[in-house]
Amino acid sequence: MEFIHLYAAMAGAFAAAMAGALIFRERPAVANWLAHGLSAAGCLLAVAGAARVFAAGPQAFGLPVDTLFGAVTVRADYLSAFFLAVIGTVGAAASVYALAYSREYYGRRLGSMGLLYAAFLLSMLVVVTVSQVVAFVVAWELMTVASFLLVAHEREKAAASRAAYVYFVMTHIGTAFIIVAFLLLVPPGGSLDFAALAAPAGWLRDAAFVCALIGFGTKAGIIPLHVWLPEAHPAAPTHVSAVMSGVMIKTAIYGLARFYLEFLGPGPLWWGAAVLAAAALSSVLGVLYALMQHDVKRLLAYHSVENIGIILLGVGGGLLFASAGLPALAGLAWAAALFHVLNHALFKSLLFMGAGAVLQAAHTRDIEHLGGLIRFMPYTALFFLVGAVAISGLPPLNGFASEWLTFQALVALPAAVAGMAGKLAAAVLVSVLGLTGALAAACFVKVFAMIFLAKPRSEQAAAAREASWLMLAPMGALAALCVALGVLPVWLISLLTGTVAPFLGEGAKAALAEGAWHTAGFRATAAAGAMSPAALVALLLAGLAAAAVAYRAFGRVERAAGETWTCGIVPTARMEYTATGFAEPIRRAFAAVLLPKPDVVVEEDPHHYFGRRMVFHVRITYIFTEAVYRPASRGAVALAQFMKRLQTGSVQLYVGYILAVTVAVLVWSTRW
Amino acid sequence: METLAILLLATAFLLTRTSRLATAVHILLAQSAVVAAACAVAGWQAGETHMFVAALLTVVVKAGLIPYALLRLVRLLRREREVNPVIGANMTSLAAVGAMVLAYGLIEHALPAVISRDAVATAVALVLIGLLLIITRRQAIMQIVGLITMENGLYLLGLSTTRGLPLIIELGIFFDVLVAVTVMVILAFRLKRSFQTTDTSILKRLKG
Repeated sequence: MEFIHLYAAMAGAFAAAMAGALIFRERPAVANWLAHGLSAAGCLLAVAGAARVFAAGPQAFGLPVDTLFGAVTVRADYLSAFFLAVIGTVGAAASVYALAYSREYYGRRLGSMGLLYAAFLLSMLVVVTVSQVVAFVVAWELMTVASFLLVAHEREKAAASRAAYVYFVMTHIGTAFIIVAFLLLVPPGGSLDFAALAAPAGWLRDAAFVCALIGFGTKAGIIPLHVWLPEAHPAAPTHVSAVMSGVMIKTAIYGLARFYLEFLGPGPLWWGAAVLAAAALSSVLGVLYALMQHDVKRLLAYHSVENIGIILLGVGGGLLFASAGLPALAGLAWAAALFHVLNHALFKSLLFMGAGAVLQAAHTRDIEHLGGLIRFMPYTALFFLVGAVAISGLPPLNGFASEWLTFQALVALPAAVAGMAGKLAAAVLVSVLGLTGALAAACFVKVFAMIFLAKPRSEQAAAAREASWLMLAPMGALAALCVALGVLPVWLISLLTGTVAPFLGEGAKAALAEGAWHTAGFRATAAAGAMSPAALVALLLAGLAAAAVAYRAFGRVERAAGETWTCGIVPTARMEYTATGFAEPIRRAFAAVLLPKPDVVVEEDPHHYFGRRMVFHVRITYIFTEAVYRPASRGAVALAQFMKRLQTGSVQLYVGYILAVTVAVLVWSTRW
Repeated sequence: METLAILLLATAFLLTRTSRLATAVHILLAQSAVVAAACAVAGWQAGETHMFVAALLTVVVKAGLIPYALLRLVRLLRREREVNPVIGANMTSLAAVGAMVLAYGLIEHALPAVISRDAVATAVALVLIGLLLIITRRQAIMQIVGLITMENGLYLLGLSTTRGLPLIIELGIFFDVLVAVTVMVILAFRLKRSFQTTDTSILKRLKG
């Protein structure tokens, strides 16, 4: 099938999904199957369209609409196709998951949820393919509005509507910057098609860079523009959270790639440095804040901030290499970033789905109240574990592959920046990435242990049952993809180099193709720093096999049943390690950044020596919220209070203002 | 034309002095009649027949329907009068004089040697005095009167600068005024019903 047919079929499937959800809103089962089933079909068609582009080269066709702002073209080059594939894959998995998960929402506005969900997915797919400024902005805003309404779906909860409000305000600020960035690129009197955009000269080009970084950075959730993300992602229904955290924030990476690769071209060194600084901040602070959370969905949302930071490490490296005239290394860095886009989309949506399954089974998102679920939900536990290992960047899973590639790019930084600065930057950024991975691993040890291991910490956790197969199947598929991309990353990396090479000039294409640098990072025979995931897996399996043989030969397990000695008290779940306790050493080590405020309440008892109840609370300080957003909101309120003096409520005074302005304008206009 | 301009300024000046609502409406009626006459005169000078239609419409709408509606309302408000204006009558008159000076000064500066100097200046002065009435009076009726005065000024401005607007636009303007006044009369009536007064300073309480 031609791309245009696939695209039309995709749009049709989503339109049918929306119509079905709307028409059958009174019959939730029908609406559920129509909305989410057709959405899954649409997403698969998007993946097919992407495959078609990769097979047959970039595609373009004009839409048969004539707008006020000129013709609208759908153009799918390799970059668009890559994002189509990412969104399609995650969207399809989330839609199948939603078939079972939205049973929770029967009788709770399921019709509108299905309608908005389909609109949300479609708008994302349109964003990454449409090739005209106004159409892009419209699709972008449609995406924002649909996701805003989905975040606010459980509007009875005050937290949800508050989160939605914060989200709306922040993304609107971001969109303003995006529009400015686009308008800076539009040639005077020129067309608004992406092909006609050209970078302006001088400081306007820098302004376009900064506006794009702020605008798309808000959507991506880079620190300090991230405040909406940990509020909004947990508030949405879980399959929507999976899509938002997995792919919606990646549309911002798509926007950045369009701007920095295609529209603006290589810039000064400080562009890359600025992106790298934001990336380092986002990755370390994101994972530190994640470690401090107890709400599993909120924790995962903070991990999205961290992973966006890792992706931006690749983007920033790409910018630096491009400005230093090193297209091959720039291609490496960009490919690392795009690879992590895909990987994060896979494992983050997998983890959100796992969290959703747990939430549905145990009715709580607080990991302090979970525990022991591995016995009740073995498959969910297994898939969650795969996602956790992947996000921690451990080999042989996909998170490792892309982080390894990012490491390779960062180690080469001194090639772009001469002197001590480059060496220092490389050292610092490599350690930042390493620290991030280590902290993420610590965080997921905590999450997995608290949710799945030990004894249930509450009655509802003890009553948990395994999720429906419709929820397990997409999780299993995503987990399998995580493993596959980790073990066999090379084919995808060559696909990604093909994706970014056209933007980096003809030289880059040749260098990337001939040098085959990507194999350097992964081939066992290459120079230092090289490795092969497949060989690694083989070694791992061999080791396991040897261990199994050794166990068979020499292992003898003596089972001895007996009660755990707990000083004469019956052991209960309250004696287990808590998430707060697990995070305490890290909270101490990073006290300078997290500024924890512990709060111990001891309820005194006449009997001094036993039965004292202690309540321990610890709050950490979100420095950017405290240092930027709180003063800003206070300032806004103070300004409003000041302006209120103008608003006396007297009609006469209001008309008086008009008279004063009229007379002033009249006098001024006659140059009196 | 000059005579008519002087008459118009005189009516506007009188409006700043009156505190009885019925008197104000009668002065307004006279003012609108003068505007209609000005329209007819302008049409006669320019030889445009459609101006006579406009003049007739002015008489019907501004000297007929609107004063009729306002007077009916005033009859219901027997005990209402402008007792406590924001600025007293004397100061308002002074301000009106200031507005006239300002208007003439503006015309001298912006359009030196314009043919219909008096008419244009009168128009600007009427707009300013109308605004002044809205600002300084608390009675809803007086504010409506101020608005119609402004409207008359605008109409005169259009008349004196363009040799008459196309009829369709004039019809639009009349319809606009009629609808606006209808709404305002209804609102004033509801104000009376809800608060037993048409003193708009009571609306301050609406502020949150």
